[in-house]
Amino acid sequence: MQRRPALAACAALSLAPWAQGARDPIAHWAPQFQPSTLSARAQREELGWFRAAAAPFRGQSIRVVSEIIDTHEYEAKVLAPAFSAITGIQVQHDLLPEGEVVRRIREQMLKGTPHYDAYVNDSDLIGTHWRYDATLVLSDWMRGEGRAQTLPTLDLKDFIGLAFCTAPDGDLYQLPDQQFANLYWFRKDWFSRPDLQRRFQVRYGYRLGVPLNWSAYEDIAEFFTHEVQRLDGRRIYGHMDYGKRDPSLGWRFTDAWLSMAGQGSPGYPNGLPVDEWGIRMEGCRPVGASVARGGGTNSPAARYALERYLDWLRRFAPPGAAELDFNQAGPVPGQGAIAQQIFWYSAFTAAMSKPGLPVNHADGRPKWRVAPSPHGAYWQSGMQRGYQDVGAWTLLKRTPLARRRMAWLYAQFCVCKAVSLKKSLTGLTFVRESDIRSEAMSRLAPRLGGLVEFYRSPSRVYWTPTGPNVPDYPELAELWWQHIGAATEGRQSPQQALDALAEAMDASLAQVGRSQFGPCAPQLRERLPEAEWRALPGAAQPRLPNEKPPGRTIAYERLLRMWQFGSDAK
Amino acid sequence: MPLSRRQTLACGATLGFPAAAAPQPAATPAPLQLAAEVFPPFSQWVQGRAEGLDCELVRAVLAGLGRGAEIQLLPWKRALLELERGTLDGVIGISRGNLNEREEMLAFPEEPLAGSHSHLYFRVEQPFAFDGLFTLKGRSVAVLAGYQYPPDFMAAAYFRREPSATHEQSLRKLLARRVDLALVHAGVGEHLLQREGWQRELAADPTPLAPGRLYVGFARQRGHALLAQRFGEALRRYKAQPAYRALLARYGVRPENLLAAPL
Repeated sequence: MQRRPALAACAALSLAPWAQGARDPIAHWAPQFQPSTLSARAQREELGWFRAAAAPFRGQSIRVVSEIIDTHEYEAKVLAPAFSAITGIQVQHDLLPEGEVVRRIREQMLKGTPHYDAYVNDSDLIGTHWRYDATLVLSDWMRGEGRAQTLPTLDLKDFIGLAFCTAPDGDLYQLPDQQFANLYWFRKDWFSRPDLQRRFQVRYGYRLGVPLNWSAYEDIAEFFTHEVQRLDGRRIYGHMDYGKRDPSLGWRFTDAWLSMAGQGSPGYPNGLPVDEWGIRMEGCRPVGASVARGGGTNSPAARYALERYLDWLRRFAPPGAAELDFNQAGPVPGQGAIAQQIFWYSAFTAAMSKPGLPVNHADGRPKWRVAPSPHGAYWQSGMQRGYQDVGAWTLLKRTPLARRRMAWLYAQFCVCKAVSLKKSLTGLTFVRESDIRSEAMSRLAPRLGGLVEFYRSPSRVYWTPTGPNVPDYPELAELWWQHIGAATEGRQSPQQALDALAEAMDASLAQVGRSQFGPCAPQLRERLPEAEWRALPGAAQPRLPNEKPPGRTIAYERLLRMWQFGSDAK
Repeated sequence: MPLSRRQTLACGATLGFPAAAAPQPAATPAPLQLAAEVFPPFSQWVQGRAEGLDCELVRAVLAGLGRGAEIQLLPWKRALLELERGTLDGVIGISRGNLNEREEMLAFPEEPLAGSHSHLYFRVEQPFAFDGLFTLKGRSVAVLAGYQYPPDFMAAAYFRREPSATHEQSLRKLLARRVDLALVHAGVGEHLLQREGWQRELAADPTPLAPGRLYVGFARQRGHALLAQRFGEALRRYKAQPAYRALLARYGVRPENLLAAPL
């Protein structure tokens, strides 16, 4: 799930800025979408297609919604008015907090409440859409009722996140609109200082560099918070996080934190038979989350993940971090007092790159870099490496046909090549290969701290969203922040909180199983005695006698080669 | 065509005997033991000898460095196995791996042999247009055993992957209707269609897939890191000469099939 600093929820009802009888709206808008990967002529032709395809709907209006990030603000403020001007379809593009978007789409799916004609909904919900039969299957739609409204130059294969929007049966449910990854963020300028390198080497016995495991991350956090303490006259810290008991605390954990610790099984994209939420799968059917049912939500690795999170938050983060929510914590690294952050969303890149911030040089080059996040003591090769998701246009079956067609036109307009590169350069949430490979992106890359190198690398596909295993994302995600919150507030030990969470997950899976049908609906397996669940394939790993192996680091330049030189299949 | 046992024995005579183990005069280092797969026109059998564009190119560049090479053609999976066993000095036409993980084992020259990409081939009578992985739903696709295809391609449950020993075998399976599609290297596919006269029966979807770079990877455990560096420099110089363009023309390889995407 993606979260960004909260702005006031806003709605932008697009109004054509050109008066009746003024110049052609395509001639007016096309130059504003430069640079583009299309030639000027092809760009005008693509915009012209929208005008023609929308002709039967001229004068009508639609309502769509997305969360509050720079990319969607650009859509609401620029693309919606442009679409209205070109097509004559009025668009109300609302921006709401992510949690509210998820709540509304679920309500509309299950109760039919007609909130919106289209949603930008994270592909984390693919398992939900696939199982409830309430979401339009776009691969069928484009060949059927939506054919006349499907852009011939949409070029689906150009979307890097299309696989995330595809269900296990090969049906495409969502159209990518904005994509982001969770990476490790650090101050390369500080890590490169010879005096700090010497001190770290003397104290810890290995080189200060990008941490490859959580032991090294912890050492570096301790080093900056307690050993270095002050740099250039200001107090600094070796870690940043947040801990307020609110919905964003849940995403902090369900966005692959447990699998980064080593909870779950090896296997792409989420681990099989146990995934990063701790859900055990039998084929496509979820059968339980607690270790007694073969799951991993309250496993030793999960407990380790929660303990490390709590320990670092209390010992190494700035005072008050535990009382912040995601939105409040997000801008903190950009203020210049944080050395590293293990769990950082690339959706913050636009905010982090703003001129004048102390984390950037005067000429705009960043003092920071991004790298793959380190993994915990339980992690093994082949497990999920990290989290990535795509916010994607989602249409529901019960929306009236004409409104679906208009919404589909607007959805495609927001991602068509005529506007996509300009949008990408504004919001830095790339979805198209053609944008990522463009010359404009090459020119921008040195200012983005390694983000473009990540997206150009074939290794990016190893960062994956919540997959199809989670049968009702809104329902199950709600449990996490409440139970994890009991641990952050100190009311329960980490193990107690996770035991309660696992119980609640099992109960919720059983409940969801009663409202879904078919062979992929949840169906709990029996609780097993320890000797029996331990014998299951992929059963929770036993507690490690040493959860802090020696720290390992790597030079950033060498790590970058992983992204730059990752290559083809041969 | 799969490598026959006789060919394996004839060309792999020194397999299992590391070059360093045999006593050699210091002035004439032993020829490097290299492996490639049958990958026409880049590496192929010609009268019992490993020939082809890459074989010629590698021999020429190494000769300029005063080194000889004995090249074996092995099934790809086996070449990688021999590399792990330490019986080879290097492998021709190998990528760095999706996560550049092979850099641990292999020293890579800065200069690749070539950029690479693949296409999905289909039978002309059953046209196919790739528009994302989901368009493979319900189909069977011939792939190369031992290749590391992207994990989303390998994990997708909605189409079947049918491993082959060589690209030629993949295309023959396609012709025989044993698969619906074959994922084949662009240069190899083009060559095989021409050589075998399959242009009327088979065609390629134009979408380039799995783009990357192919190198000569030199075994680190044999101390070839410096050789890899020198090879890369010499290769870059060679590719700037008319002789390289003549080599491409002689093998009928279009330079656009060898372009590498920017890093």
